[in-house]
Amino acid sequence: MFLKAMQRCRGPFSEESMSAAISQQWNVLIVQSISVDQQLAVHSAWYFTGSRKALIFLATRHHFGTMSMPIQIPEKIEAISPDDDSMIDLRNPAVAAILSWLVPGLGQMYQGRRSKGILFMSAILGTFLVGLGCGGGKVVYASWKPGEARWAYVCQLGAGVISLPAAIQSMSLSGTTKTPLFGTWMAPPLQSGQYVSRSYAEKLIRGPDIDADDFFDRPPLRQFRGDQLSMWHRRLGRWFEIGTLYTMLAGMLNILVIFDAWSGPLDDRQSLAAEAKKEAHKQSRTGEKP
Amino acid sequence: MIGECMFLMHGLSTWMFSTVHLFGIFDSIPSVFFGFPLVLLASVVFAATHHESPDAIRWATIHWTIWISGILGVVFLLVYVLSQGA
Repeated sequence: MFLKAMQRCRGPFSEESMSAAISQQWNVLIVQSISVDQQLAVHSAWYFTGSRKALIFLATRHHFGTMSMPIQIPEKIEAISPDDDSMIDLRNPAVAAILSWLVPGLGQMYQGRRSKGILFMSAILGTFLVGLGCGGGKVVYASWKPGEARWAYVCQLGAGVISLPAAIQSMSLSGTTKTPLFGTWMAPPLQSGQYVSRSYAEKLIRGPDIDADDFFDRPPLRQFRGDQLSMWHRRLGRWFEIGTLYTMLAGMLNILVIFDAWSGPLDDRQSLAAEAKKEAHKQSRTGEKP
Repeated sequence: MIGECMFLMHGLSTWMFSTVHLFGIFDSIPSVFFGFPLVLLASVVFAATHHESPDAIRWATIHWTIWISGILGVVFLLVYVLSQGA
């Protein structure tokens, strides 16, 4: 893309000189009589190739005539496939890792490893949803109240954006409105003596576990006088535990998926050989002799 | 948009829960068997995070499944024998 942009510009710099510059990791490129169009083309090319040094073009774009610009060729971050020794372009590993946390497999898709991304997405999200279904939608919730801290949520949080509503529900229920944002979905269980809004209490009464008698009337709120977690356990039995286990494991395994997006496939047996090959590949790119 | 997504998710999990319990067939299955899909899931994820080509992932999945099942089987047997002794 960079060379294409330069060719369009028909500037005083030749394709050969640009190739020579690109073959080096660090270089100082002397660009003479650069026009505004050329600057913009160079700037956009560098922007899209991801170089931080693109900012230099912004800073120097008003300087005409002879100008000296240090440029850094963005080094491709690559991993080596342990199966066929092919290079895997990891693009921006940090972005890939964040994407993989948000939606399992999305980081791999961003890196062009589409089939692997689909595999991770279906495996992790499928397991999480099956767990959620087994637990009747009650097993993913966040609660940090003394004696009822939900440590399983720390693992479930690994599955990404799908588990985030639980944190929002917990915060909104303990806020001033005393009403979860998304109804009863992923809302933490009520403890004895907890105050909730009248609208939320009515929603709970319409559900399977709670009756109107389970609340004291404390206008403008209502005070719960049962133990909702025990009610869930009584109704769901072992399915609560199975659902919790499935969602926890999905979240924990996604940590491996995030690491795969960050640094490529793991293979301890070949890691030393891979390092050597990577170094050789790097040297062949820079034109240095080993 | 978020509300609609949440509504869909809620509906999906409620449907799955009712499906699981409607037929009642899963109720008779011992809890330990619900660990098998998890062993398979862990094997697939381990294999896919160690390899890149589909064939290698497939073979590594089988390899990991055998190892994890073996280790868990030994632990299970040990616990069973100890519980019989007690």
